[in-house]
Amino acid sequence: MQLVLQLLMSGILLGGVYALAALGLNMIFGVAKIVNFAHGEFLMLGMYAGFWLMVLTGINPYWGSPLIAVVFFVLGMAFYWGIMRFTIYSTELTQVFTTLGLSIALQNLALVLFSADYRTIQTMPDGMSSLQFLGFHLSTDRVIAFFFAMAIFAGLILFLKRTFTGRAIEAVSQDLMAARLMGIDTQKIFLITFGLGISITGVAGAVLVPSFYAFPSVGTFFVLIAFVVVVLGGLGSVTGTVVGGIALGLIESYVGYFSPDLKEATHFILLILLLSIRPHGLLGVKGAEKETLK
Amino acid sequence: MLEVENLHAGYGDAEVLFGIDLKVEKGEAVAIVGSNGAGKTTLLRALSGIIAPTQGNVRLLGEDVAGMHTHALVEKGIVMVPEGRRLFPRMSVRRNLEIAAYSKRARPHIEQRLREVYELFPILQERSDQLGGTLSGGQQQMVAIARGLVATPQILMLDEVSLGLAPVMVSRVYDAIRAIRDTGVTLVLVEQNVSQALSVADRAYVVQQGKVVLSGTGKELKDNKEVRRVYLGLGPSEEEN
Repeated sequence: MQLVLQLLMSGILLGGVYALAALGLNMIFGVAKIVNFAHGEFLMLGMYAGFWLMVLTGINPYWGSPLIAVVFFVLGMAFYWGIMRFTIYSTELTQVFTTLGLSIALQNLALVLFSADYRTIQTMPDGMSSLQFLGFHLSTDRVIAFFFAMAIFAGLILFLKRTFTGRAIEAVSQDLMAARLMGIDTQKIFLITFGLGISITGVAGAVLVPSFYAFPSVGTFFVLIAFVVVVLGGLGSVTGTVVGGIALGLIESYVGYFSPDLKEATHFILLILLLSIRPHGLLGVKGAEKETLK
Repeated sequence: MLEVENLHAGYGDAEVLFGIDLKVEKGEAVAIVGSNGAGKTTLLRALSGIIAPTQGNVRLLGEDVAGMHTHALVEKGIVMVPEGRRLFPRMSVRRNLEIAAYSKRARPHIEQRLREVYELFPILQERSDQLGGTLSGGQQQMVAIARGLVATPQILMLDEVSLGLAPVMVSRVYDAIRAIRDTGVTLVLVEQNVSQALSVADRAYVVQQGKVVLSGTGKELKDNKEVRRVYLGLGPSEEEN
C-alpha cells in the first residue's frame, strides 16, 4: 500500500512537469492550428538557459524563471514574426516542414554551441535534495517544478478567462474570421500566443534541468511526451493538458516501477491507441484534430 | 457617409466584382439584393476588409478606407454581421457579446451597449450563460446582430440574416432590424429575401454579375416589373403578401 501511494505521488509530480512541458505546444496549436515540431528544441533551449544561468551567475532556475520567461517571450515572438507568419495560412505540410527544419537547425546549433555533453545542475544543497512527506520520499526539485507548473496553469487560465486579450486569444482559437469582425487584430494575437507558448516552454525547460539531463537532442525525447500529453488530454484544451500530463505521469510511474523496459514503449502504444480511438483526447474539442486556418 | 466607387474585388484570379458604385447616407438603410453568386457577399467582405479590393475607392466620411485591415475598419465603425452567424461556439452568449466590445471604439460603452441589446432581444439575457453553439438558429442570429451593435457601429452591414431561419424567426429578426433602423444606425443589408429587405430599406441596389444593374428607393424597386418577376417571383398584377 505504501508503495502504491509512493508511486502515485511521484506519478502526479512527474505528470505536472510533463503537462508544463506540453502546454506551449497545445496553446500554439489551439490558437494558430500549427503543430510546432520544433517545440522540443525550444524546451531544450530552456534547459540550457536554466543550466547556463546557474553555471555563469549562480542564480538557480527557479529564481531565474522570470528572466527566462521574458527572454523566451521575445524569442517566441521572433519565431512567429520571422518564420511562422509566412506559413500561417499555408498547408499543414508547409508548416510541418518549416518547424521540422527549424528543429534540426536548433539541435545542430546547440551541438555547436554547447557540445554533446550531458549537463545538469544541482540546485539544492546536499541533504536537501529529497523531502520527507508523511513518510514518502519526494524529490525537492520535482516538488518545486510541480508547483511552478500549477502556478503557471492557474495564471494562464485566469489570463484567458478574465482579460480582454485572453478572451481575444480564445475567440481567435474558436473562429478566426468572426474574431476579425469583432475588431481583433489577429496578427497581434498570434504574436502574443507564440510569445506566451514559447515563454512557458522555456520556463518548463529551465525547471526541468535539475531533474533531467540537458543535451542537444533532448527535445526529441520531450516532444514525444508532449504529443502524448496533448493528444491524451485534448487538442486545444488547457485543462486537458493538465489532465493528460498527470495521466501520463501516473502511467509512467507505475509501468516504470514494475517494468522499466516498457516505460518508453507505453508512450508509443498510448499515442497509437488514442489516435485510433479518440483523436480529440479526453477533454478536447471534437474535430479539433482536423482544424486548419486554411 | 459611405461612398464606393468602381470597386473591383475577387478571390485570387477569380474576379467577382467588376466596378461597383454605391452610396450610403447617414441614418439610411440600404439593401443590396441579387441572386446567388451575384457578388453581394464578396462586396461586404471587401467593404469589411476580409478581402482586399483590387481596384477602386471606398470612402467613409470622406476618408479613404479601401484595403484597410478588418480590425482597423471596426475601429472606424464599419462592422459586419457575417453570413452563417459565426458565433464563438464554446463561449457563453454573454462572452460572445462582450468580446464584440474588444475595439478601443466600443470598450468604454460596453455596459450601455449590453443593456441596449438585452432590451432589443430579451431572450438573450435569459440565455446569457448558454454556450453560443447550443442556441437555435434564430437565437444565434440575434446574438450575431447584437454583437454587431455592441461593436458600436457607424455602419452596420448585415449579410443574409434570414438565411436558414424559420419564417416566424425571419419576421422577428426583421422587427429587430426595423427597431435598429429607427434608432438611427446606418444599415447595409445584403439579402436574398428581397421582399423582406425592401420592406426595411430606404433604398436598394440590385447587383448582377458583379455590377450594380439597378438602383432606387425600396418602393420603386418593389414596383419594378423586372424586380418583381426575377427576384420576387410575382407576376405584374399579383399582390405579395
